Amino acid sequence: MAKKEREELDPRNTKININMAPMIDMTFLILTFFMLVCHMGAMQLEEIALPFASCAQKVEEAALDTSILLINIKEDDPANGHVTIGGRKYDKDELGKLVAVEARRAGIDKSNEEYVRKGVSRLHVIVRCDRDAPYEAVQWVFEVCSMSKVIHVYIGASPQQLERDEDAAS
Amino acid sequence: MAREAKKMLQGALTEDVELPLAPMIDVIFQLLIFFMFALKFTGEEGRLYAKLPTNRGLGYEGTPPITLQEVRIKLLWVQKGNWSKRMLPEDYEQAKKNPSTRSWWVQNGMTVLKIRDDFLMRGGMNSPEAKPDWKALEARIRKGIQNFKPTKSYPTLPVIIEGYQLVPFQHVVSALNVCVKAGVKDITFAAPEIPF
Repeated sequence: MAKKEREELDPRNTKININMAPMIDMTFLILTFFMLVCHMGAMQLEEIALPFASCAQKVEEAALDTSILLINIKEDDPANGHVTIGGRKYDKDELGKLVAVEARRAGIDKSNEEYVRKGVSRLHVIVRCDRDAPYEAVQWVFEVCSMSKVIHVYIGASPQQLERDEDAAS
Repeated sequence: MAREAKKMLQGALTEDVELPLAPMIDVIFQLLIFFMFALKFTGEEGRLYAKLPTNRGLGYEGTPPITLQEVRIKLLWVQKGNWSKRMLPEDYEQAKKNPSTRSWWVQNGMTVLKIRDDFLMRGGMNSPEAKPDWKALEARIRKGIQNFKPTKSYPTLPVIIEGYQLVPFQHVVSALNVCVKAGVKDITFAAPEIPF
């Protein structure tokens, strides 16, 4: 009896079982968290240092209930004669064609009689331009929007002022 | 034979069934690592709404009604230290064709904020270190709103932002921000000048 007890107490004879269930639970929880937080739609958003504007307001694009075209303009894009949409580069002519197609696809804005009469498009354009980029590329966007009767334009801006924004209006 | 089969069946029933968890854990960790790296925490991002006008611009016919009360904010691109030398439309056309001309203008240029004949700048006249005075601009716009007399075509003060092509976008947004802050409803962006 004593020998049997001694054998049982001997660590060399003890079978170690790792309890996997809590670890799998935790891993699944972390996985679910990252899956929910990781927004794949945000891949359209290029990494851009947006200009500061204290009056900039958060807009839920999903709540706009209309077609949205997101245009990114990096610092060097205007000098190279293009803008970036969904990772692809478009020059001014290509941008004009794209906006025209998207404006037609979105249909006419029927929220206002004047808009219906003038054939204003429902398309909403969001311009995210680097704060140091020359204004010219945004002028191209305004120009092509005007040509395609797109009037709803949002300008991406950061409501948080950085130290280097000393020459920006607060 | 039947006894052997019975023995096998009994053995199968009493045997502990173990799920191979290792491949599942491998896959879960792979997914976890992917999502962890794909996750990008971005700063808070806002939007300024800029409704383009429907009574002017390239897509519309007709001439916009004229008012002398409008405020035209000019963001000129001038030579540092010599504000009288501004980038003219023909200079811009040349800069588009010649990268060295463009880089000269980028390196030697600066933004100057002007309304009518007044320079709204912090720092001395022609100073290369001068910065646009946004507070002065806000005061000027507020004064314009106070003195504005509504008309049929313009029920509120119209403000036009005229930015030169090489002006940093931050300055245009700052001008727009000042207008929004002052309560201007009718904001228009002027099209770039065309060379003669």
